[in-house]
Amino acid sequence: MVRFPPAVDFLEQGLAASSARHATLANNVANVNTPGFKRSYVEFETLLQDALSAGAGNGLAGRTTDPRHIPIGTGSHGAVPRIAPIVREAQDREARMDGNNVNMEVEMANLATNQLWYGALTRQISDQFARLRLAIDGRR
Amino acid sequence: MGLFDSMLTSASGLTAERLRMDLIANNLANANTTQSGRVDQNGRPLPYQRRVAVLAEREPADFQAAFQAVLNGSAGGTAAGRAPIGRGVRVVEIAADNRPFKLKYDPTHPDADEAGYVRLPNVDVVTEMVDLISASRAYEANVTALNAAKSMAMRALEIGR
Repeated sequence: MVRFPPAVDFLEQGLAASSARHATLANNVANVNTPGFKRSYVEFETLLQDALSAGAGNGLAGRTTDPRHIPIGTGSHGAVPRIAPIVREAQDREARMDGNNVNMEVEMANLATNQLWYGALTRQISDQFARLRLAIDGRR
Repeated sequence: MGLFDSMLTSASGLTAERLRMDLIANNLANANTTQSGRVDQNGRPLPYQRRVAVLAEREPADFQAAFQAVLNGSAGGTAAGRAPIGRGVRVVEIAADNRPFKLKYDPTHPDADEAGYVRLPNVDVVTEMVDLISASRAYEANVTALNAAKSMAMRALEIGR
């Protein structure tokens, strides 16, 4: 059974979150003129942060060389946490007269940012596999 | 929801905005039409009545399941504020604008009443132009979202090549 590097696990979850974020942004843009519509957003980075810093055995721990040092973090790296992105509805109070709170400029900027993030993730995954292939092929 | 479903979402936005633009074009073309083929209770011809599209969000697939999950709090983490990803926009109906018609004093007009007033459509050209700009801008934004989904999917195809 081939074991892919754990980095691919993280990157693949990022891809899933990016795909969900694009779907949410596309829905916001499609409903920019719908009265009473409230925009949604995808929460992923904060969840990933929480899972890495908290949680038993996961995350990075500060190195303590003296018993008087205050320990930071909860220990060595454990298994890769699985984080599902959460879609939330933003109940912004600044809405237009028809109750719609979609800010088109912000949504378009987020669309571009998300697209670049998706490209960066796919590039990273490709690099991981390229490294594997380099190890298989050896030096040419 | 994958990238292909999000392309359908953008397509629904394109459809809705194009329909709005069609209605605006029809309103502008009929801005001075005094006879619409219909008559009022006195038998006098009614002018063209402004039409406007009513938009609503399309219900996401398995909405019932998602709603139930939120109610039960079984979606994990804090269920408060959790929402399913929508599927775009739909046109609920093409409604007629019931605001009163404009009156213009012109006794020489064939459709003038006994007092010499002609009823003109309740179409305000300035409002229609502003709505046209808004619909056109939203159309372009949906095209950009669709192109972004397409390029993301193409990038994904290149993994490992």
